[in-house]
Amino acid sequence: MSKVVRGVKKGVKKVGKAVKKNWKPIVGVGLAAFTGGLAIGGLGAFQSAVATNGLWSTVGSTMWAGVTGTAGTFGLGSGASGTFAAGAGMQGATLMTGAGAQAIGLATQAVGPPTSAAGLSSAGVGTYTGPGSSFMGGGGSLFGGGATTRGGQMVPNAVGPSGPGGSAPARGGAGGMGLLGNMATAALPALITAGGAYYMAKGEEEDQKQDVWGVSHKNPQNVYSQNFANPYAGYFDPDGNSMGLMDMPGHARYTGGWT
Amino acid sequence: MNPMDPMMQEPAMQEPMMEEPMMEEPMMEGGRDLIDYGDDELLAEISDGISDYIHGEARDHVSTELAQSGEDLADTIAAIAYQIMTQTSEQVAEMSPDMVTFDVLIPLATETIDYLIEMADAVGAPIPNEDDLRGDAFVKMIEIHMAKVGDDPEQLQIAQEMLAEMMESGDIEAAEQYVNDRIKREGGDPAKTQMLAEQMMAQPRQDPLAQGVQQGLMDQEMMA
Repeated sequence: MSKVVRGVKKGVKKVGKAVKKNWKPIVGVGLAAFTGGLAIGGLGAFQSAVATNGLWSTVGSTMWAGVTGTAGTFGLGSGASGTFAAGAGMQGATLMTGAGAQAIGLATQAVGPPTSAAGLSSAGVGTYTGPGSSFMGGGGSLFGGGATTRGGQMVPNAVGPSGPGGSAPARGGAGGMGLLGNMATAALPALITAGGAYYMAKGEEEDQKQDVWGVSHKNPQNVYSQNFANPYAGYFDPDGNSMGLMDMPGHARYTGGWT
Repeated sequence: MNPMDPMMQEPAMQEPMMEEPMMEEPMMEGGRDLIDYGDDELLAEISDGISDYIHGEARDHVSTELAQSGEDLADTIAAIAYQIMTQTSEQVAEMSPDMVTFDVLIPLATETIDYLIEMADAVGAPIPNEDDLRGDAFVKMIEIHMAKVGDDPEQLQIAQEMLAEMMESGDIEAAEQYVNDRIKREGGDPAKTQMLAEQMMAQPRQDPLAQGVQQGLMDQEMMA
């Protein structure tokens, strides 16, 4: 792929407003579904629900979780999204505050410990009552050794999903499984947030440099080595040539073979 | 008084200092030409680059994929758009790490999907409803992104901040209507959305690694 960015010097902020009007609802859905994805149990749960209930019913549920959880995190009032419940004819439209939001918040935090590789994690909603379960509390010790605390957030020392060497071989094992299989490669860190304090602490995002779409701002030159840990970006070779959609495990016509 | 005496001459009125307009001359930094863009120009510049790529270098490959995608058109568009966005973000990170944010990439993703829908239309791919296709492709792209980033808290934070902004501005209401409309047309019941969400949250959370291991074992059994 030739350079689509010919040279940029200046960073921009708040260009979310640059989304065209006809795209705004869809972008809102996407963001809410993304944030709610954790609350409903991750991509695996999402895809199981799609198989049972259809794509948009599942998206709606994920969105409900995302909107409610975000409102809980940011302390937004019930006005902004009350129509979601009201429009859907839900009972008790006060989704944005109180127990509902807190329950979502707890669910979001309750990622199972990464030690349960051989079986199912049982860390469902509300099952963890240790020191890390406080919404505003810091830390806890869900991960035990190998975990570090960062602003109330538990981060395992393991290499992240875009880090070097991040389990690319699992792609082979994911053959035919599509996106679900890629979770095995993507979500190894099983990060956990111990509360809204983390988000509050990181509130001054103006100078924050973030990693998005798997590209690290910290080491942008190293993008290609990172791509080996990235099942999708990996389909570009270091010269930027696309290796073809048919080679993508997530693609409907994936036939199995990129090694 | 000698008017020719330079000491007696009135000091010449100094013209106010005019700031020379900044010339957009390329600045060399690390061997690359860097240009100082404004926000809109910047997005337009990158968007043009993506358009050039789709309609130029990648045209044959992309148009073939789109033409052959049939009912999987949204999947194909999402996959192509995600590849392009991944590549774009890498290039942006190389040039200006500050810019690699959802704020920048989301508008570009929407533009990219629009370019691909235009091309799909041009190659005769069936598009019953363009807006539905936009929604399907974007949600599937988010799904791919979820698969890639897993539980990354930084990603979650950025998305939550943007979502909070949309909630405060009231933009989220249109999103809710959009979803409810899609659920109804899918044959579902929007009123069950909350119940379904609660059901999903009540289920034991499965560790992604465990999922992968389980699926691998199942695949092995099937092959055996």
